[in-house]
Amino acid sequence: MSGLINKKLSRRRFLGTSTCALATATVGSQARVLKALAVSGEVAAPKLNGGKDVFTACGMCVNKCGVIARVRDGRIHKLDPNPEYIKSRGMLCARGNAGIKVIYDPDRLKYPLIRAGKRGEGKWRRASWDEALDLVGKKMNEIAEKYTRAGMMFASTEGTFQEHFFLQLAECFGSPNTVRHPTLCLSSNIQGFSATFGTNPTPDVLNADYIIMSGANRSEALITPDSIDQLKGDGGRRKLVYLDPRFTKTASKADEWFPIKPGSDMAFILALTNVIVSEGLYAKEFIEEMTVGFDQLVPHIKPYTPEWAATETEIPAEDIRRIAREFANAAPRAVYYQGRRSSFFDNDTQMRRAMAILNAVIGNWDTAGGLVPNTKIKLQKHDYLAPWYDDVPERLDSGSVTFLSEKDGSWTAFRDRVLAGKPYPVKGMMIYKQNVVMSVPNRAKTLKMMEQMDFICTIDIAMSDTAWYSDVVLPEATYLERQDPLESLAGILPVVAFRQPCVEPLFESKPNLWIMQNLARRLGDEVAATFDFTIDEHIHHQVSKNPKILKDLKNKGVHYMKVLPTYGLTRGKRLRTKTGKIELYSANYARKGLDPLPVYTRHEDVPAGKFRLIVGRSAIFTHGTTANNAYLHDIMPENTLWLNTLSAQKAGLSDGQLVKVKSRVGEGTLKLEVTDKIRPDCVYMVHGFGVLSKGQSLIHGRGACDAALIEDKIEPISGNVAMHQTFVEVSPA
Amino acid sequence: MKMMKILIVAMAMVFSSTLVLAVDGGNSRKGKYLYKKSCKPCHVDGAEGGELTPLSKTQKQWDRFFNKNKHKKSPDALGKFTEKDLKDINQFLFDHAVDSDQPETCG
Repeated sequence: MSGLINKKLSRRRFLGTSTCALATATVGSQARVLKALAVSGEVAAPKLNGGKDVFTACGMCVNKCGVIARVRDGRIHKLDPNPEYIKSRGMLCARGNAGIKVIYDPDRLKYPLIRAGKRGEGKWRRASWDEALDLVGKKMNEIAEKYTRAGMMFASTEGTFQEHFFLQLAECFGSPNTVRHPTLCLSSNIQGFSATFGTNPTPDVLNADYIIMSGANRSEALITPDSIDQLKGDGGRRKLVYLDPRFTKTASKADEWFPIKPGSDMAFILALTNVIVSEGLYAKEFIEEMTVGFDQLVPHIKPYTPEWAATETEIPAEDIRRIAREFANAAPRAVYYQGRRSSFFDNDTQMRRAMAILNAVIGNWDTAGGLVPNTKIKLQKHDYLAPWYDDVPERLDSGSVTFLSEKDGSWTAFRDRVLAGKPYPVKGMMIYKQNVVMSVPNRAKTLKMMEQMDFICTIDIAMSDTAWYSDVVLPEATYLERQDPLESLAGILPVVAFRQPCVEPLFESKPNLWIMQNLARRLGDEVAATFDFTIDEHIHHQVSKNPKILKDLKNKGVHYMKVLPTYGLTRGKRLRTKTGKIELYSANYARKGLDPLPVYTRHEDVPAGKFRLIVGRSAIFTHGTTANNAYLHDIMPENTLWLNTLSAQKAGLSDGQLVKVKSRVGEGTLKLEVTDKIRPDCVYMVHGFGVLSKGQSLIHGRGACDAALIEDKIEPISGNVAMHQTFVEVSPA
Repeated sequence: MKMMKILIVAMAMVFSSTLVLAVDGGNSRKGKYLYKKSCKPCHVDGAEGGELTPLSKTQKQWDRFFNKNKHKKSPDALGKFTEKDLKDINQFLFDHAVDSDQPETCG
């Protein structure tokens, strides 16, 4: 709030900017274009729907919180939280509130665009949907003819509730090459926990008495309900131990904070396990009943003493020993929180295995305050038969990592093979929402990959960097304008989320289903036949076995079966591992030549004169998608480079000064923020700035892009990226 | 004696890997197509064969189904497939079995 107060953003100004909507007077040329279009009659004015409140789900980040849109005079006046929405505990965050500026954003994509200059030059011409889709269909068919259907790649990400239509198109077109976000996200986390438990469970934050978090900055990298539940522990019963090279907002809420040496989390975890095993503090009956491999774990864990870990982590041995005892004493209401956090080092899967094993030895599985397997409310799936094409090869990145998801792929491995042109050429990109230029480490390589493409089409709501380098850009209706399919969100308390149009789509934007259906028609009858349904038919099919779901969604914006968790459903049953038990020792890993128990290796130290670049989140931004939002931009107009006070003094750098940050793969210029809230050997910047696209007018030319700096190191088991293995030089700009 | 031990270990490794990779070599993607086209119509909730998905069985159970059971309840059902088709379908079901290596996704 201090930022708001300092900038004198009064309530009146805040509300004023929110309600003026299309007539926004402060945004320069874009607003003039909007006005001109409205006056010329080229674009229909928004329909006046009168005053109404519409239930929907937020689309500003991964959480999909419940929203009530207050619609007045045909415009969304305000977005409020839905108090019935149990997943978000009736909360809507700053980003959720700022969602209003997604729809009334002068920078939003308004109609189909076809590139008129060189790629990335920013010259576009407006096209009709027919012309744009004819071109996309023609190019896709040409690429299929020339390189097989695998010559087209399809990049997408979750969150829109319509991604499965896009993936359906990819499958029916006949390309195996879908590349999604998990290898920039949780794939190593999921792999490590699934190898142990057969699934990636959810930590029962609300009911835990003791939580240890490694870098999952839950007070800023918001995840509902964890971010809220984490704070409800205040008052003595709950203890939160937090490890992070930065003093984040989560650190400020924790009972204990340790600025751990980056990359040494596994050493800390193994040492906790060592103490718990050697002192007999483990859950003996549970281990006997539910696990395999404890006999192998005991000798394996022996060398990993707190004294050894102290030298690796820079956390005192006595603290490690004490925390281990406290953790075991709080069991089973104790959890080493894996939560959502991306992959920082190339041993992330094994680090996650170590976390999972530690949780298992204290017996916190499927119990209050522990790790609880997710449940999900069943919706009927739309089934279709994708045509079969005999000449299409396997995925381009097939065999590149040990556990490759056939739907998600591995981003950096895939990109390397595109650049090598081996084992076969990929010459077309179809992109839905994913901003690959901004999100895949080593931006220069991504741009090089795009350069060698014959054709690139992006579907988005904004001119992202990826859209900026495309040949055709198609405007999707925003989440506040669309009827989306129902989405079943798994969790300890699962819900079905609902998104319906709060207002009619502005300009010529269209829902993804409409785009897919109309593109499918241009790709052949067989493909088109799989899209022969309306969104209403789709939704009614989803609830055909349980119509109450739709009634609940219409009446209260959410459907749920229970408001209290059910524990212990898996106890005594077969888990989804090879042995059916919790696998402390993984024979499957051994068979694949991987360490069956996690083995610690030290990462390269920071070279003299350099800093480790670390990534992280701000509570007001979601990846690269929200920095250009007017309300959020008002709070933080650019990113800064955090540098420790002592390090700054040593380098002769001062607060506010413009600095150049340089890694082996790129560089950027941004302002320095000198602070004590970071280790002296690290620097940090918020993701989402330093954009190339001039179509993001508020942030173009502001701050630096972390993806331009981060080297593309890969975690070889899951194919995830390693975000914290880049060293940078910092010098005056 | 030492040689004997090595031999036993080697044989055990071959044996165990044979078990796991029983259907290695089938085309999983083609198997998915064939399964959805020809098996699924009878194997959805409410249909004659009852709901059956790759997740209904473990990898070993799928192999046993194709090698021993051979659709005992209705043996003719497999008659319309070639050996190659059956291998592809087996591969698809094996690769997506409840204990398969195919990872969960996020989001």
